[in-house]
Amino acid sequence: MTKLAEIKKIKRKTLKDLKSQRRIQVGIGTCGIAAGAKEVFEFLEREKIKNKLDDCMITGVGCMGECALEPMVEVVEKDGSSIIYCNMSVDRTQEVVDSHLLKGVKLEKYSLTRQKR
Amino acid sequence: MFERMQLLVCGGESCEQKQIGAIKDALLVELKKHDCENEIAITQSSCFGLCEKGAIVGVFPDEVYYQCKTKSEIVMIVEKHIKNNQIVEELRIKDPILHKRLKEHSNFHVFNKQNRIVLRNCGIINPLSIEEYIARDGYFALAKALKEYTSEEVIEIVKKSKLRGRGGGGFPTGLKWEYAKNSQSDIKYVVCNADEGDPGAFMDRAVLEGDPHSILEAMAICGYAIGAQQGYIYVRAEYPVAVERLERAIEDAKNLNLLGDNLFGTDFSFEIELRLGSGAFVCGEETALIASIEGFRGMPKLKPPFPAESGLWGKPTNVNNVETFANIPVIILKGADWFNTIGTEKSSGTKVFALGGKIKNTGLIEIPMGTTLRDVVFDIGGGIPNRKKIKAIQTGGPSGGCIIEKDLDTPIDFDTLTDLGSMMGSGGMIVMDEDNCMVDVARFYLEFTVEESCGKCTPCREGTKRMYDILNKISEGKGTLEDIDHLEVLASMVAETSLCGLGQTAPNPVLSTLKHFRDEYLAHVNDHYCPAGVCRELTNYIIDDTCVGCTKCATNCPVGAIIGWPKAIHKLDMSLCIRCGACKQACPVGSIKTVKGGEAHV
Amino acid sequence: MSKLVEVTINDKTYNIPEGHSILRACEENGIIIPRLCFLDSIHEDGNCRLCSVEVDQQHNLKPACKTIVRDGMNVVTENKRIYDYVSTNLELLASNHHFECFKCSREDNCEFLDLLRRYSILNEYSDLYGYELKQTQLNNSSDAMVIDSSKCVLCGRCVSACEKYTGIGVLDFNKRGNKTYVGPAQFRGLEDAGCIYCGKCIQACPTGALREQDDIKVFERAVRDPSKTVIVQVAPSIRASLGEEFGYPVGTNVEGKMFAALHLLGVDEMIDTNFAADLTIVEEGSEFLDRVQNDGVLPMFTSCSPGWVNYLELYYPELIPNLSSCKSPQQMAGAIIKTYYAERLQVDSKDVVSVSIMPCVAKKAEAKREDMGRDGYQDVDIVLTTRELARLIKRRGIDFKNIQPMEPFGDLATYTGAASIFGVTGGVMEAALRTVSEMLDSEAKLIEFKEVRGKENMKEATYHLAGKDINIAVVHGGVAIKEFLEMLKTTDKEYHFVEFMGCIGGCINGGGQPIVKAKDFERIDVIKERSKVLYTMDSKSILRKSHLNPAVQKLYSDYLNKLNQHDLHNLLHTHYKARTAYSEYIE
Repeated sequence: MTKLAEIKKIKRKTLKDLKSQRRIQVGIGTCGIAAGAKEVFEFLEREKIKNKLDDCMITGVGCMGECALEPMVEVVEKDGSSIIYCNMSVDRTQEVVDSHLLKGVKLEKYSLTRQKR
Repeated sequence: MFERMQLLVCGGESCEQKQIGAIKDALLVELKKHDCENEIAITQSSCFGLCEKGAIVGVFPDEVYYQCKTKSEIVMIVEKHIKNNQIVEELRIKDPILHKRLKEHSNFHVFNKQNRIVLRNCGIINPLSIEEYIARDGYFALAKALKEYTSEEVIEIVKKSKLRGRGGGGFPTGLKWEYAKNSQSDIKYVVCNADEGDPGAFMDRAVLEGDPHSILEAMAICGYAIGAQQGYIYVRAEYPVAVERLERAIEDAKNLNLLGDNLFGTDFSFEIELRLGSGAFVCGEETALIASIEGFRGMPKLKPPFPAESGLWGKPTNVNNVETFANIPVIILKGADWFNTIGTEKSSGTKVFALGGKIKNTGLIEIPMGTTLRDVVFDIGGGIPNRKKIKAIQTGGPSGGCIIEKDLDTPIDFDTLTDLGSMMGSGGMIVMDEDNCMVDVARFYLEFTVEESCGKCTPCREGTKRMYDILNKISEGKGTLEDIDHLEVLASMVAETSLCGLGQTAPNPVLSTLKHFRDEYLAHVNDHYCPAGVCRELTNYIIDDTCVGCTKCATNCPVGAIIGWPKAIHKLDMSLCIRCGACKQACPVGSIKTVKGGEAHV
Repeated sequence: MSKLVEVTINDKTYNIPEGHSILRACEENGIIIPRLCFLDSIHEDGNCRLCSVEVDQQHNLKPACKTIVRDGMNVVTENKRIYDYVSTNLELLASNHHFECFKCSREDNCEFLDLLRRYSILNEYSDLYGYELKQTQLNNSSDAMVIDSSKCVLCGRCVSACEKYTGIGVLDFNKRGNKTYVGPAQFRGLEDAGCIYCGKCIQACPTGALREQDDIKVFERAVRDPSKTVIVQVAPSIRASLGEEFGYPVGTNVEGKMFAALHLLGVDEMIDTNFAADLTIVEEGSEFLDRVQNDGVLPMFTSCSPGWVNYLELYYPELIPNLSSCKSPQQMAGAIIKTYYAERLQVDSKDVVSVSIMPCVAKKAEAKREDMGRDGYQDVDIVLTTRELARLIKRRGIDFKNIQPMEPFGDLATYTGAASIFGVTGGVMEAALRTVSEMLDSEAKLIEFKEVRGKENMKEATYHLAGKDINIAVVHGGVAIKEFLEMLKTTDKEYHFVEFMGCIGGCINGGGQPIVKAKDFERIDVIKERSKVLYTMDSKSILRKSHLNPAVQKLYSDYLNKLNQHDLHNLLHTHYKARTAYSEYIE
C-alpha cells in the first residue's frame, strides 16, 4: 500500500533530479512520430553518448500543440528557461547539438518564435 | 504549476548585455524577497532585439510589457504590479507597433501555457514516466479526494465547478456522476470514451499519448465518487501509440499501488482495463460503446434507461470523454471556485480545439471558454493564408454546422455555438475560405455519416444515404429546385426522428450550409456553376485572348488538356481537364478564368 | 387495479393505467399510430421510428412504443410535421423495396403494404434518386425457407424472434449503414448456420422478406398431370386455423370446408394426417413399452416435430439414442400412401404425388430426408403450408366462405380424438399416455391428462402405472428445450417420456400457419383460441384413444403385420444423424 508520504517523496526527488540536468524534450505524439521524431530522438541519444553529455537528459514528451511544426525539440536549461526548436530534421538536430549543446550558442533561426507564418 | 502570473523575460543565456543581465538578476531577488516565487512563473524568451529599451519584462495574463533600465524600476514593478496588481504606467511600453511585435514573439511561450489545464502536462512531461507525472502533482488529487472528502463531497465539487462534458453533449458532469451514484447497485462501472471518431479531431489523442496518467487518476476519482470499482477505457484501435502509453501507465500505476486494492490506505479499490474499438464511429455513442464492450454489435439503444441507471451489463455506468476526465484532477486540487474563474458563466473552464483547414497555425490550442472565434482564427490561429477571405468555420465535425463571418465575434461556449446553428462538438474546428464549396463541404460530411451509420434505424440508415445522393446530384450539376426541397424535408426528418445522436446531428452540415449559403446551392442548381470552383462538372476554365502564348500552362498540365503554338493563344480541352488548377497558377498574365458551366472554350 | 394517470392525446384527455406506453395507451383508445418494428416482449428496440410522436412540445420526436405515459403528459400523434415525417420514412423504405406483390407470400397480409396504402406513398425516391435494390442475398439454400433481403425493412423482429423464441440466434444484422442486411453470419446458407426451420422468424416478419419455399406451382402442375394421382394429407392444425385466411375469427373449425376446397382444387384422394397420428401413437407406444420393459434408453423423446429433431441433431447429438425411431405422422402417412394405399388404388407408386398440408416449414425439409422414401421416390413429394393452401384457394377464385363442407372419403381419414390434439403442446404426450397407460396397465382407463396441457414452457407430471412411477415432461420452444436438456445433464430425476415441440404452443403456432399481425397478436391469445378447437374436437369424439382406431387396427391386420421386420422398419421408422453448424470453412 502506497502512502501519500511516499508519493510526496517521489515528487520531491523527481523535481530535484529534473533541476539537476538539462532536459532535451522531443515531441513523440503521433504527429511527431509521423514527422520523423523517432529518428531525431535516436540521433540525440547517440549524440549524447558520443559527446559525453552527461548533464543532458534526452526524453520524449507528448504533443506540444504545434503539430505543423513537428518534429519539435525543446531544450530546457537547469534554471527553467527554454527554447523550442521546430521542423527538426536529423541534420538540423546535428546543428543544434554542435551549436547549442556543445557551444552554448542558441540557434534562433529554428526557434518557435521565429517561425514565419 | 498553476501560477498566478507569468513573467516573460527577454534574452536568456545568449544575452550579451551584462547590464540587462544584472537587471534580470535583480528581478529574481525581488521576487524572492516578496515570497512570490511559487506563484509566479518566469519564462526566458529569445531575444526581442530591443536591447536599447533595457530589460523587457512581459507580465501575463495582463499582457503588459515593461522596459526596465534600472534596478529600482524592477523593484517598482514587483511591488506594484506583481504584488498588488497595479500596472506601472510610466514603465509600460505603449507603442502599438512595438507591442504587436512583442506579442508575436511571446505568443507561443506564453499563451499556450497560460490556460493549459487539460494539456497541462502535454509536451512537458515524459508520458512514460509516472514519476514525472507525480512531480507535477499527479495522483495528489486522488489522495486528496480519498482522504479529505466523502464521495458526496467529491460530487459536490464537480457539480460546483459546472464542468460540462467535453465529448460534444455538454451535459453537466457533476449531475451525471450524481445519477450514477444514486442508482442502487453493488457493482458499478466507470467508462472513459476514448473512441475519438470525428474526422480532424485529435485532442483526446494528445492527452492519451502525452499524459495518460491524468485519465487514470480521474477515473479513480470518479469511481470513488459514484461507488464503482472497475473502470474501462474504450480506446480506438487506430491510436496504437495511445494504447501503448495507456497500457504502460496502467502497469506503472499498479506497481505503485496507485491502482488496485486499498488505494492510499483506504478501503477504496479501483482497477482499469483497456478495451479497443474496431473502427466504428458510432461506437463513440455511449450506449453503442457499452454494447461493443459487452461483445455485441455496436448499435445504440433507446434512452431511457440511461447508462447511469442501467449501462454496462445492466449496471449503473458513468461514461465520460477523455477531455472531461482530464479536467477532474485539477478541479479537485485547485477547487471548483478557481475553475469557475475561467470561462463563461454557463461554460466554465477551457476547451481544446483542433484547428485545421485554411489557417496558418494548424494544431491544438486550449482556450478558455468565452474567447471569441475571431481571436481564435486570426489571433491564435494566425489568420487565413494566401490573403484569402474567410468564408465559414465548421465546428463539431460531422455533427456540427457552419459559422459565418458576421458571427465571428461570438464568444465560444456550448450554448452560443448551438444558438448559431452549430455545436461545440468534440473540438474540431475547420476554417474555410472562398475556395471551399459549401455544397461540397456538406457532401463530404454526409459521405462520412453514410459510411458510419450503424443501420439500426430507418431515418439515419436510409435518410442520410438519400441526402447524400441528392447532394451528389447537385454537385454534378443535375440538381433541381425540387431536390433542394426534398433535401430539407429529409434533413428535418432525420434530425427529429433518428434514434441516436449520430443520426440526429448528421443533417446539421446540410441544414446550416443551406441556411447560410443557399445562394451557392442555387448557383449549382440554376446556373450549373460552382462559385468556388470545386465541383468538377460545374467548373470550367477558358483561356481568353489576353494569352501571350508562353506555353507555361501547357507544360504544367498533367493530362495534356492544353494545346497551342508558342506566341499563339492556347486552347483548353475541357473533356480532358481534371480541374487541378495548375494551369491557372502557372499563367503569368491571368488569362485562364473560371466560368459558369456550359461556356467552356474548346 | 393499477393507478391511472391523466394524459392528453390530440387535445383529448384520457385516463391511462400507469406504466403503459403511449402506443398501448393509444391503441386501447382507438387511436392509430403507425408501427412496424414493435413486437411485444420480443422486439422493443424502437428502431423503425414510424411511431414517432410529439411529447410535451419537445422538438425531437419520441417513439410511442417505448415512451411511458406520465401524469400530465401532452401527446400529439398527428399533425402535418408528423405526417410528413412518417411519409418520408415510408418513402425511404419503399425506394429500395423490391415490389413483387403479385407473387409475394404476403400479398394480402403485409404490414408494410398496409402502411404504404394508409400514407398514400408515391415511391418517388426511386425515380428521382435511383432504385437501389437491396442487393445482398437471396438466401435460399435450404429446402424449407428463403431470406429475401430485397424486401427487408430491417425492423429486426426476426433477429429478436430467433433469439427469444428459439434461443439460437441464427439471424443478425450484417455489415452496416445502408448496406446492412439480415442473415446468418459470414454469408452462410441457413442450412449451414444451424437453423432448425421452426419459422418463428417468418411469423415475426412484417413483409415478405422471410418466407417458406413456394411449392404452389409444383402442386398446380401435378394436379393437372393426367398420369399422376394426387393424394393429399392434412395435418390436425390446419382445420383450426385455415379459416383465419378467409375472415373467420381466430379459433374457428373449418374442417369440412377445408376438404371441400381441396376437392375443388382437383386432388384425387384425400386422407387425414390425423389417421397417421393414431398410427404413430401405436408404434411409438410399443417402442416405449419395449424400452421400459427391456432396459432401453430412457427417457424417450418424441420425434414428430422436425424443428425439434433438427435442434437435437445440431446441438445435442449425443442424445440421439433417446429419440423415438418412429417417423412423424406426415412421413408415416406418406409411406402408407405410396405403398399400401397405392396398391389399393392400383396405381404405381411412381405415379402417386403425395402432398401434405402442414402448419410447419421444417416439414418441407423433413420430406426430403434420406430415409423418407425408397426405390427412387420420396414418401411425401410436396409439402404446402397452411398459408400456401390459402393462397392457392384464393388464386383459384374459390369462395371459401360459401362452399359446402365435405368429408374425405376412405378409411385413411378416420381418426380419434387423441389424434386431433397432436397440434397442441402436450397433445402428443396426452395421446401417447392414453394408449401407453392401457398398454402398461389394462386397468387404467384414463382419458384426459390435464397436467400436460397449458402454456408453461415446461410441464411435468408423474403417473403411477403398472406399479411404477412414470415421469413425463412436455417441453416446447427452443429456449425451454435448451433449459430442459441442460437440466437433464445434471438432474437425479429419472424421466421416462418427454414430448418436445420446436414451436411454442405446438404446431398450431407453427412457422407455416396464418400470420397474425403484431398488433393483433397482442390482443388475441392466438395459441389458446386455436388449441381450443382441437381440444373441443377431442372432447366431442366418440373414440379418444389411438389404439382404438378401427382403421389403424385394420391397417395392421391387413398389411403391417404381414411385413417383415426390415420392411416395417423402413416404412415407419427412421434414423438420425449428428450434424454441426458452421462446419464449412469459409475464408
